Amino acid sequence: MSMLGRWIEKLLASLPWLLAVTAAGLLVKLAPFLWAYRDLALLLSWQHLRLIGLSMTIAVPLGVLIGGLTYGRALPGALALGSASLLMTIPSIALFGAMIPLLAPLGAGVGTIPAVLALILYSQLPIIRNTRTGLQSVPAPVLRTALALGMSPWQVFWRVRFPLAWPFILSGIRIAMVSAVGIASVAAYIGAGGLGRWIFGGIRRTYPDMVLAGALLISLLAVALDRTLFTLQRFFQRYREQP
Amino acid sequence: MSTKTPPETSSDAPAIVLENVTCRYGALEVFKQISLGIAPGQVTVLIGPSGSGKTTLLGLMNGMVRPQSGRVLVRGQDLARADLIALRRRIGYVIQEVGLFPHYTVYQNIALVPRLLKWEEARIRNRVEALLGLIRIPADRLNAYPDQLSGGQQQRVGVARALAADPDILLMDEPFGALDPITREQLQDDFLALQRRLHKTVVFVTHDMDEALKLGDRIVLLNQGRIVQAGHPFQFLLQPANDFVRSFVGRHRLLTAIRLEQLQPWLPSVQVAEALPRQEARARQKAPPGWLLAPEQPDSEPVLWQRGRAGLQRVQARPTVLQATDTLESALAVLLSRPGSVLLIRDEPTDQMAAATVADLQGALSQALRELNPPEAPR
Repeated sequence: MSMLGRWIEKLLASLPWLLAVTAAGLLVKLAPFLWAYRDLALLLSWQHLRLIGLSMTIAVPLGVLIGGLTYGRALPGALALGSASLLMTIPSIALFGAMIPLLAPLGAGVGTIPAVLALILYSQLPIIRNTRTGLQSVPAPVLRTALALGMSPWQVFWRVRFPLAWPFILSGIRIAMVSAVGIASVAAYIGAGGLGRWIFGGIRRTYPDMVLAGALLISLLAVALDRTLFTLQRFFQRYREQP
Repeated sequence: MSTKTPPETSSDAPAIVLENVTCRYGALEVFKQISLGIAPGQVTVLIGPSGSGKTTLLGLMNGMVRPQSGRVLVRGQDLARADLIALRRRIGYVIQEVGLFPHYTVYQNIALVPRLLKWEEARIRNRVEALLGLIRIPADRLNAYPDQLSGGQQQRVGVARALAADPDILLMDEPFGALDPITREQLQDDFLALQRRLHKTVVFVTHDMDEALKLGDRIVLLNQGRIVQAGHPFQFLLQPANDFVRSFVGRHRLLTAIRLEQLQPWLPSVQVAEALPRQEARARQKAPPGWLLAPEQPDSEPVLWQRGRAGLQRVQARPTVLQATDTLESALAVLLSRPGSVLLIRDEPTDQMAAATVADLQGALSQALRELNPPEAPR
């Protein structure tokens, strides 16, 4: 039993390495394809990142604002979380598809605008949820002494509550961003470009190298973003949790 | 106090006054028509079983809790019309959970109120460094975060933060309640030493009678939103108002809680000399009667002498010496084990000596009680 347990533990511990090795192997296998289409690979990666960047520029302030306005209130909080969760249950293809008739009257049925809009909607749940949780989890005694020592409610929020919630909020942003990298591949479906084009194109042409190249680059983008934000989060959390 | 002090606050006027305060949480009545004055420069301990309202009472004093009716006056100012934020910056506040900001260093935590008051940074640094010495935290901990400190150190920093802007009032809500017994005792002793120098108006909440008896100049015992008894610790020990007080204090504390230092003012002092005055000098001496501790021969053991009308009388060689921080119990244990003996009590900081017999202790207690007794205002 414990032998098996230790074995599983070892396997799990080596999982990142296994994945790295697989990725490296894939990279070697796909090197000729990626080299041949290096310009396109760069363009599609850029388009992909641009979608993430555009959507997050709006999604992060929006989600943090909603979380910040609702953390102390039960009903608006439930409403915000409920609608954000509801959005998450819609399959991404369906949401992207729904953007076409919804935005067509405005002349923006396909392309970047509906894709960015869909990504914003998908990002709200983790951002709102983590913002609320972070703001709520600040220890009551800390807030009470802050007030009792003569901080104004405004100062208590900006100097105590928000900074202490910030690592939580950043972790929500990280989750939202990484999942947006995956979801953004579907954006190719409505003509917004990005690495999804290789996945859809490859499937249509039964060209496995193209599909794999798209998938690999998307994964690498996600991992790179995740690590960057994780490092940032660690930097902000230079103090440890209070016992 | 500054020149802006309102005329009604003279030095002996209460620092904090509660007038007919009623306080409710929904249907639950915490206080009904309670009145209380907090004397300046003293430690007033609020004590009572849980749910007796002592923390709520403390919250009334810095406006964290608003009364439904009645008035709360701090330094003569009615809190209903006061700028609470400015007021709180001039009242220190310490709670059991410490409440240090985890994202601030020790320095930033202590500097909090001075920064809110917009002191100059050089002045803040001087102040923080001075406080660090006062609370006995090594200066190399200035840039540590609270979770890198022990529980005792955290609470010391909490006390320093409360004292940072030198407020004359300090509110403390079970500040030592979460510490282990040894650390708690250390912090209590340090607090007493600090208070002897600073003379702050301290309101101290606890549920621990030993702590109340040790720290309090005055104890206010609460039960179910009412003041059951208020007075000097001796009054609680020797004249409990009713059975509730009697059971809350506990009979066993009578001897263990009274410390010799509290009795010392009423005990005869002892003069200490390097050598006995020479024979002829002794005869001519018109010294007042009293105790003298001096060796019979130079370099021999000290002997206790009594100066009376008949001159100097040898009483006892090598009398037992207790510290002023020892309890009445240990003094009685020594005296009763050697009938007729005299005990010396030495106060470490001042190096004053006092002598005590069983009768002296009894006399000191009753005299202390007589002097303390009626100034308690009727309520």
